[in-house]
Amino acid sequence: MNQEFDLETALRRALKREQPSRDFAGRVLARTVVRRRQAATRTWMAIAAMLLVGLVIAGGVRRYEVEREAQAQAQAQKAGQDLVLALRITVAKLHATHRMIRRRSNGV
Amino acid sequence: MGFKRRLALWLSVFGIISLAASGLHAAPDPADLKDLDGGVFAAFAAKASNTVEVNLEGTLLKMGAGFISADGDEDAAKIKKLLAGLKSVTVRSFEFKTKGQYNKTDVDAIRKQLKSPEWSSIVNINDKETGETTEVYVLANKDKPGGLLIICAEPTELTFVEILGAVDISDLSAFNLGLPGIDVNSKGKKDGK
Repeated sequence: MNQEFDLETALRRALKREQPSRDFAGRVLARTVVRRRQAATRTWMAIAAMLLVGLVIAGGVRRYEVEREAQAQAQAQKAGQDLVLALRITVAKLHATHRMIRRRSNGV
Repeated sequence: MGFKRRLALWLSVFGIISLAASGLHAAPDPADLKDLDGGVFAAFAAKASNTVEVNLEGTLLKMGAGFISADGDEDAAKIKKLLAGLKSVTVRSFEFKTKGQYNKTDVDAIRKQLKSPEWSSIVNINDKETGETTEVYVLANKDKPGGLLIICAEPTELTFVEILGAVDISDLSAFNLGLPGIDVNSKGKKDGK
């Protein structure tokens, strides 16, 4: 019984209403402002990081496209030169064949 | 007739029809110059003073044709038209400084591999005076030209040309050696038109 009484007294003492210190509201407000600023900074940093990553990716993709286009251009130019060379050889051989046939038919 | 017998009969009929159809489609493609034994060509190249190797087909052929500028030139425009019908262009050419640098048996081996029954010989000249052998074959594709094969063996030069597709030999022969008007150094149209 005595023990229960002691517990009740202790609880009442512990849960007794106390007036906050005078600068409590100010301190809470100040901390809230700081937290808001920190959150805003973090958001902006995240946005900046995302933009930077986006820029890096876009730059990489553009560079890849430019390189691929240049490669395709060079490949097409080489193919064009090869094609002309192949045609020149073919035409030369056909002309030589015609000359040989003509020579034979003329009995030269 | 029992169900099993009828099923077996239908299955055999279906099998025979399938076999016949696949047989019709199984007409062998002409031998491709670039698929031939590379060892012989490598041996020629090792002894040659000048080697030309051209392998153009599909997209690469279209890209190459697209790079040929034909603006305002009749001959170049004709070449572009001719190129539009081609499937592949393969050339192997070897120039030697002196005579006797290659074995005729090696040329015969290549000729044997290339000469499938689809190719019809139209020219076969063996000039004993100059030691020059020229063979021209054409590939017929349902009464239309389907390809051209040239094998030229000269004492100091060996040339193999294989063009597959709708190539007209008279169209090709009509061009000049210089193929004027073709400018592959200028930027051509990428779409191949």
